Amino acid sequence: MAGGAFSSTRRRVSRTVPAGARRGRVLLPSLILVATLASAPFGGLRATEAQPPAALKAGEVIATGPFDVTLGKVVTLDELSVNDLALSPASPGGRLMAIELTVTNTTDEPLSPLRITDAIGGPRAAVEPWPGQDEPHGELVAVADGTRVRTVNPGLSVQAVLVYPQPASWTADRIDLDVYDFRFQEEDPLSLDPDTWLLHSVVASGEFPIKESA
Amino acid sequence: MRRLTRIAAVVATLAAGHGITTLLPTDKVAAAPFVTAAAVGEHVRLPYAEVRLAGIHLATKVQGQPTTATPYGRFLVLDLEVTALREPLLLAAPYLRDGEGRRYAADTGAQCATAVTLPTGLPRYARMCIDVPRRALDGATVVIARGAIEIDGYRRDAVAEIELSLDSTAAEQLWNTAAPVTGFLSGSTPPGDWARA
Repeated sequence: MAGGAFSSTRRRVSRTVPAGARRGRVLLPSLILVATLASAPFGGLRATEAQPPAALKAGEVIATGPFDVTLGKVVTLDELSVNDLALSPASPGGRLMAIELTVTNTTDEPLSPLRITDAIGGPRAAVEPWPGQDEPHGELVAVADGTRVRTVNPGLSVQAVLVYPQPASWTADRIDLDVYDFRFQEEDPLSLDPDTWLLHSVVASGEFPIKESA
Repeated sequence: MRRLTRIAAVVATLAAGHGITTLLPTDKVAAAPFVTAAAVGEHVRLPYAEVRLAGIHLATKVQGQPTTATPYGRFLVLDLEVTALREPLLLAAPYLRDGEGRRYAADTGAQCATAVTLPTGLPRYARMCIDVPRRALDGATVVIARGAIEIDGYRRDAVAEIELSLDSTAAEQLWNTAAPVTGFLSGSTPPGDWARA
């Protein structure tokens, strides 16, 4: 018995296609191809370029999604001691780098200070981890009372300094800083963490002078 | 005939399942907490605890030792009397919901409690602080529960909602008369500046 299941012989099936339909199958892709090639002189074949980050300047408000942030001065200092908070360099010859910033929560939910520190970036060589830690992590200190920044509730603004230990090897008097934005994810198919702001991409970059603390 | 009956049964089962999952609002009904509404000063009896919001302050500072906490707006200070009814309980910090549905979390760094461990049957006094802007006070409600809303949304649990009954005029007056209060976490006796409803 030829052509049955598990057989290597296949039955040939003939399908009749109307002549008009065959013409349409050829004509439509051809038209699309011609139109695309015709647009080449006007940039039709150029790859889509990502939006470059905006210029980051002191005093300018940057919208990140869940909050607005404004950077101020960047200063370097030997140590920071306010009330019962004391921060010292992490290594011999090192210093502390403090970035002034103002943050306003623009959502309807409380904002974690961890999210604020995530939004500020710069060159890896400029900072080092705190003692006992593996990765560099900024300490966000409120200017008003010298305590670590707490949860920022909706509509509130906080003036703070973001403090990093700086290694002795970093001697530059300028630093490139980045501000990242966040993308809202309503549903995450891979986790049970819906309605989350995820770190997205750099929205603003700029060079800041590093000043000595008065 | 028997084959047709089987096919019909399968189709009917699939249709019934589809109807249950699409027509019944299972996501809302199953997750909604059981809410008991109350006013400031009233006792609220939940299955796991009795709670009473004795009163509120609006504070420009919470004075602790050695640190004094300064709010980014004002501290809404909640003076709570709570008793675990059946077993020891970790009562989570309440949150404030304003008249437009925004949520304000209790402050974690101030000289106030963020969660209170309660022994069974013994009343405890707890002071909890929420950093708020002016707009948060109009039509505000304090929501008290034992879980964390970020994790489970108080799913099917008992929740107390205490209306502060602040209209715009009362909220404005409260905002303008804010003053420092004493830092206090929790204990069996209240601090000297305990609020009276």
